[in-house]
Amino acid sequence: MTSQPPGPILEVENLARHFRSGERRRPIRALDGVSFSVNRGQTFGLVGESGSGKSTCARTIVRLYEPTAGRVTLDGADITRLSQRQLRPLRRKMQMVFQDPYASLNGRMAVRDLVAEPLTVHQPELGRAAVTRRVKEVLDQVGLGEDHMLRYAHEFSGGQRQRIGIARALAINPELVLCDEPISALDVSIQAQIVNLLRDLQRDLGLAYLFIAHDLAMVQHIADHVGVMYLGQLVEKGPTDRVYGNPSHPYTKGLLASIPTPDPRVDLTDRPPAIEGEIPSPINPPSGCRFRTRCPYVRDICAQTAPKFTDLGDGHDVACHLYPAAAKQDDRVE
Amino acid sequence: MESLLEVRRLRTTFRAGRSRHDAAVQAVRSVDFQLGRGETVGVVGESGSGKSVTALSLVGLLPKTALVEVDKLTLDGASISHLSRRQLRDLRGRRIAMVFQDPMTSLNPLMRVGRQIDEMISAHDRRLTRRERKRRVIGLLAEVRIPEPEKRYNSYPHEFSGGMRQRVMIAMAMALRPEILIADEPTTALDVTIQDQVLRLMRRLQGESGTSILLITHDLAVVAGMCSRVIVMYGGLIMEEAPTTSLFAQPMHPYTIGLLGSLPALRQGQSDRLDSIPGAPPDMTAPGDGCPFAPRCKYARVRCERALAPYYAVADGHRSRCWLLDAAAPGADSPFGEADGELRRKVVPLDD
Repeated sequence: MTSQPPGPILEVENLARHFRSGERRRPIRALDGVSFSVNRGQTFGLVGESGSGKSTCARTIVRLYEPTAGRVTLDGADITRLSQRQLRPLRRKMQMVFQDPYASLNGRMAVRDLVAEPLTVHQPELGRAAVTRRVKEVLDQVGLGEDHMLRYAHEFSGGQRQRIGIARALAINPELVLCDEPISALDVSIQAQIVNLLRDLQRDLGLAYLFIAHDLAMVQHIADHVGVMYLGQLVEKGPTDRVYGNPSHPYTKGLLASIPTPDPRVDLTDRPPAIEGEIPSPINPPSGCRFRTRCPYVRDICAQTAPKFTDLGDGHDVACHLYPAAAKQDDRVE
Repeated sequence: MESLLEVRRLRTTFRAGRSRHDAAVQAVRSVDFQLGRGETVGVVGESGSGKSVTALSLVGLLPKTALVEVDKLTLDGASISHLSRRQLRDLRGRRIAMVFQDPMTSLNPLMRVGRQIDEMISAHDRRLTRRERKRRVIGLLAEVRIPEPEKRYNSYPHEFSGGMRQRVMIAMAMALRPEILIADEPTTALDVTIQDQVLRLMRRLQGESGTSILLITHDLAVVAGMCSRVIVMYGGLIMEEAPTTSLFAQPMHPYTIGLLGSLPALRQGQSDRLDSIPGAPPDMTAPGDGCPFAPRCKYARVRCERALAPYYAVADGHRSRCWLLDAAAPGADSPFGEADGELRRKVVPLDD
């Protein structure tokens, strides 16, 4: 990493996305006021349990979902209120890689056409020969040969399919790639291949990643900064070594403690259970701090007011009433 | 340790098509192992390694397209390889229980959860009255920490979270105090926090009933925390078997070494590359004569592609199927590090 911190390619401010719920009138507050930024050429990891709003966050950033509130700034331009047509030229800077390489690739298209599709959408001026040249180039970057071009996705293994998905995202030279659980459907040895590939591509092409995963160890390995989400909100964020080295929110502590250690000398039951209970419904989240129903340190104030972010130094922020001093400006939606 | 389950030369093939000329998938090529009483053994491997098919073959839960052959399969000394479907059904649940990755595929979505557990108990124990059974079911739900078990008795599976459904499955599996619990990726679909809760539950119930657990998983960290012994499968074969501590301290197969290297948490420096294993899992319709891992193994030699290595006993209870352990293998570039020479002097080939 360079000594001078590069500027942000993506800034997310108080981003929220609510969904209508069927049975009751109350909305599902899937994403409820999240702020963070992703620096150029760096990786921001987003972790949390299922239902914490990680994927909703990514999908709202790329406007697959319309935001309910908040602002998304891509390379200095506010893209929150742009129409889809206005958004299109800016979309070139931001691409997405999905979890399931089985579901996200059209089985009726050959690899060449899958990878060419974003090019024909975003650069219609390119001729067929130029498109094919570019397809070969990105396939080579992701470790696939041009002999794969005429084959179909179902002929490939999961890891190779994810390479095709990455090639598709890279075809139009984005600056930011949002990876939504890009490795969780893959085998362990293949996960390492894909993570190594993503890191090589970052180094060679200067890519920034928003990397969403529930595998906390892998996020620690790949991310420069990390944000921990719980029930639609961030509870802690900061440089990866700070957050993992000194987890400060009780949820982060519990989450890290519940990862089994790959060390046979440590028995699972040697330590007390990490976090009791389950994540509550986002239709009716707990008042005050949303984690209070599972928090071992819960106090009266936790039910009354939502904690604000406290800066613990070096950009390590935690939203918890255990850290009341030097409260930063409020960057939460009430 | 007293051997409760003994498996020798288990082979399972699936017919790929209708014609007998169609290639068959050799999912399990030859597997032998033992499971001791009260022991927890982990079976690790990637998709297609044959770990789940091994488990399903043991309890007769494969479709009719599967051909299961085994030289010896004994439970507590008595052969169970020639049981009728009906005898097998009686055995399952009562003596050998199973828990799968996705509880939704094992639960009937149209039937209240309490009724399903009740039905399972009455199928195996006809002496209990309806009222006794209901009390038993509520007790089981409470035992796996389902909140408000009396109320939850009448809930449908979709009203439960994934973690609660898996706890219900474990309650059902443990209801009849089976001798063996086969858990096939029981926590793979769950969050780490819930995985922690479910593994602890399995451990607690095991402590109370003395059940042996065969834990099938792709997650070596789960194995490290739960199992005393590990079996590493690849391409339908056991590549290495060892006490868990030995396997992590001194893995003796390049595949195991690769798997351990792929784990980010084991590594120190964040900027390091992970030791990924190149290539993809093998084609199980034409496994060939050589080691199935040879095409992905950076130590592979001509011999590895031609013939399958025998098992070599590395230490007590530690065996590995790799030509690199042979006395004639060259010591240079060994994956086993500096201890290579000394280790190989101790190695003994095992009879198949």
